[in-house]
Amino acid sequence: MIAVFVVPRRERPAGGVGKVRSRAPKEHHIPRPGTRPPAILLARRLGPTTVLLLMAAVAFAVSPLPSGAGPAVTPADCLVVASPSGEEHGFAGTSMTVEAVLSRRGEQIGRRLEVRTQRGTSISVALASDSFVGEPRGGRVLYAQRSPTGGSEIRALSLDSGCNARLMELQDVVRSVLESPADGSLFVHTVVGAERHDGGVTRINPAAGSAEQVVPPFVPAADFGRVYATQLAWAADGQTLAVQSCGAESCVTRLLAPDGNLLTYDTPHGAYVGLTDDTLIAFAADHGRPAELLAIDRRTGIARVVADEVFEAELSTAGPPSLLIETPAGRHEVLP
Amino acid sequence: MKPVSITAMALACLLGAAQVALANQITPISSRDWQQDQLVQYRWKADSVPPDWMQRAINGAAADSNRSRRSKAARLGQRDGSDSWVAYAAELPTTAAIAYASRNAPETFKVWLRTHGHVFDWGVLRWCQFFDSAPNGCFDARTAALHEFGHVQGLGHTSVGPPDSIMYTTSLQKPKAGYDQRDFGACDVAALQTRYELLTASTAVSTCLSLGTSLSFAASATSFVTGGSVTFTAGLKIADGVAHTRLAGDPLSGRTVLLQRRPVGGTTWTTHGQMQTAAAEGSYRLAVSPDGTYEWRAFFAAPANEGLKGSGSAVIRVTRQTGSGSCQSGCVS
Repeated sequence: MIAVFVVPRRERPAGGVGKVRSRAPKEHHIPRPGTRPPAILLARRLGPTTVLLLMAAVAFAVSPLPSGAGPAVTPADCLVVASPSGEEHGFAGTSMTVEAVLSRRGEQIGRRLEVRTQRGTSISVALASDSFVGEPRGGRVLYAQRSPTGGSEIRALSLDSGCNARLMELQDVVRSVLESPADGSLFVHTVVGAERHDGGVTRINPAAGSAEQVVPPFVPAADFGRVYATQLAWAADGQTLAVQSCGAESCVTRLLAPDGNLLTYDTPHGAYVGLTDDTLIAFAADHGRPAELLAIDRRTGIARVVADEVFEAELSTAGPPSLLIETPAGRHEVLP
Repeated sequence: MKPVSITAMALACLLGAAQVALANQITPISSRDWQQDQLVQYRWKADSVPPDWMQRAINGAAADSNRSRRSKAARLGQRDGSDSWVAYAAELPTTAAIAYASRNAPETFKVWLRTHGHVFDWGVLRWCQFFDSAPNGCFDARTAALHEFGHVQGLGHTSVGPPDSIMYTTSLQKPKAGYDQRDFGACDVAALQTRYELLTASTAVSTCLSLGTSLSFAASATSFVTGGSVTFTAGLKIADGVAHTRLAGDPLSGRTVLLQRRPVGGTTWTTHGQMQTAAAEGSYRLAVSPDGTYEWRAFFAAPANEGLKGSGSAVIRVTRQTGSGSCQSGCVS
């Protein structure tokens, strides 16, 4: 059973960034389902006075399908569990697009999520501009949008049935969500308050009804400027989470290890490409393209140039790590 | 720009050392060039056509680039069907920018301007041109487009802010100084000039440079009789040994080159007159009727409004012939 619950707003802790900073490993209390009441778990982590846990009587708030849509669905149809491998087995023929909705004068007034399900149903979801849509994975798409109460709600849209279920509600603004390929828990990045300060990353396990901040809010150095965007990505092993916060000039990437250890890389670099066991692959601090492609040593934080004048780069970890890059000379493969 | 840099730059200007300070702040530039004066045209990307107000801003920025490049950097213009394009889009190759450029010189480029109303972590993007009365906090689309066209030309980011560079990393919001700059800054122009050469021989050299000059000097005669005239010619060019080799030896026209003289054995030069621009690029000439024997030279004083160092030519002695004896070689009357 998946609970619909509210994760309350957090305070901003102080902090900073270093060259490569490590937060000491700490124990993570990821409870097994049923070991403790979720309300208690949240109260222990977030403070009893601020926790509002709605163990809804219904597991889902399931939106109706558009009229004339395909076969009727039940809430159970939404129980599409992400496959551990993250592969899309069994969902051939589906498609998904996200487009900006513009006014006649060219103002972005929203976004539209269009999905064609495996059952042939076309679904259109109107979203606010301040919304998030994840990559399809495990037969469903996670998305987040502002809720009527001013916070955000995270929803799942089944690529199979088209069922659209609200998973949880948060009082802060959700900017991105990434599902753990290991246990299906959600890693949620938020911004907080009118100033939209970084709210860090919270791990939410809907099955267990637990929520815990696993990456603290990013507090940029004075010369970093404002945070434009934050990206969450898994390393190839599906265990290490990369949290990249980007300003106009460069990015800071924090790596959350499975044991909770957090390493911060503020060697100047740009857009995240991927993560191997040894290196963080990223573009050079963003000056447009083409740009240098960097491999940042995960132990030392020292960057070396893998390739010059790269337009696009993709890290392949199917075998030994390799990079497929596009340069003015064409596409070719290099080793990170 | 970092606040410390702004302060340092302001102080340097106040101390009259701006040229020296800027000389080390030339905007970085890519080694991949367009051809000199290459006309590079762009179209609106089919599925991302900018609204009218944004098109005007982008085309205005192209005109700004053409007007303020002061070099043979690429000329930009909008034309349907071109290979290069400009897009108005919600999604860019990076999540952390209001605008973006990708260049593949000398073939094509792509520029993206983010949609008005896009939401970043920090808040909502507002373009000033969208409004009839632009509110504080908006970004100037024309300035942002000029910044991207700077990338198209090959310019990188710099920590030097406006007015000396439009390639400052962080776009400035109204009402910060320079948020609506319409020209490439001196240090941007410096980079373009070192890469593409001056637009013409009379184009002012960026004050962000500090280039040596050299003066050649010749006289039509080295002696004369009373009442005769001598025509002096000078050639002013950027010195051969300057670090920016592409500019080395380039002629400099339209400058103030003085013809000076001193008594033989004297140490003090007196300006006889300003040499006039001759037909050939970088050439100057002046005809004089000397009243005695003097040493002559051409002199170019470092101008306050250009990144050029002063120089003096070699010295030529022109002797007045006395008596009725036959004239020696080079004698005029």
